[in-house]
Amino acid sequence: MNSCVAHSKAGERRAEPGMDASVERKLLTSARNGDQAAFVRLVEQYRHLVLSLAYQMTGSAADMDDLAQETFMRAYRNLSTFRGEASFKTWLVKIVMNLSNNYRRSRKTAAETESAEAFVLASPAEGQDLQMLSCELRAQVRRAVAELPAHYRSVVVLRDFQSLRYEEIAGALGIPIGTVMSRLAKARGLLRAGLAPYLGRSENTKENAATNSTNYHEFI
Amino acid sequence: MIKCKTVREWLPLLESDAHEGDMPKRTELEAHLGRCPECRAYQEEQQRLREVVARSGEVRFWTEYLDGFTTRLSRRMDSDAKSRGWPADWFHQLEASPLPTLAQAAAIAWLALILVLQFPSVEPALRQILGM
Repeated sequence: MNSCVAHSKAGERRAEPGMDASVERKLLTSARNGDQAAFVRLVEQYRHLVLSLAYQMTGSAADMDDLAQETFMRAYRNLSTFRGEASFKTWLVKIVMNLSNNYRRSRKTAAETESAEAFVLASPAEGQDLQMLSCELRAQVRRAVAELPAHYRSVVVLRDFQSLRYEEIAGALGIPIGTVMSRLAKARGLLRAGLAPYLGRSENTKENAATNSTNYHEFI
Repeated sequence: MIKCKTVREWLPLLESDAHEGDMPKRTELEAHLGRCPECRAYQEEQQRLREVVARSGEVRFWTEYLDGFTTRLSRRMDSDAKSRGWPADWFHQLEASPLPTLAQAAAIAWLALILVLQFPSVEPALRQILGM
């Protein structure tokens, strides 16, 4: 079943364009001094990133919303403690990743039988506000990512889904850059094994991919 | 000489200029890839995998949803600001930076004690300020 959804409709929004660093600093200063409108400008700048991360880590549109709201509320309440040693973006990523990891840990014990279907794309009925792509390949990849151990999943989400720089990932996760790279290599090794039929490594696997009615090459 | 296993483990190094002391040198990896067809094939496969993963992770949102998200957040911030008086603010500050906050509280308490001991007439005023 090919359930790809067209995603070029009006009203859809991708990531916000980057904000000038000096503008961001001014907004942060104003927000620290109690200017709520300044903080809302920062929210508008980073909401796409925070929401995407929350969704990619949890696989649930409803939980994504809660986590993203909580991320911004924590940032707002703790703005006075933000010293600017890391960028505001890295700080937000750190908050959302911590919240997402805690969310997953608590859910795991409550619902052990819940499979990695969490990363299957939400149907329109589940995520009415979201325009989700739902190709089989995407679902397979998301499922494979969801099945990764949390410390591998985090680096794949931040690097391959969000294209963050190694320095940003290291700062957000509190680990050295070398550890980011080694985790990434191991995570990709695991993904490679799990997604072998879609990567066309051999004639045999190509045939397998064909029987799954989709092929990696269709999407490149 | 660098081994195939090491090269494959450090392929992410080639995606960026980021480098730390204990990592293999970029030039070593590139030299190995130049003479090892198996590792080169592995690298190409990893590149394809990256592209597939990157495309699969993209999430897009409706403008209305994003605007609604911000509106709800603004309401929460309003409500949060209204519900916070000085005690809540103080405990929040204590949670965020315990030592400076405790030092500040100790200094205020010490000052208040000195004032009460030196000028007993200020005690009612202090009680009123502290809501006691």
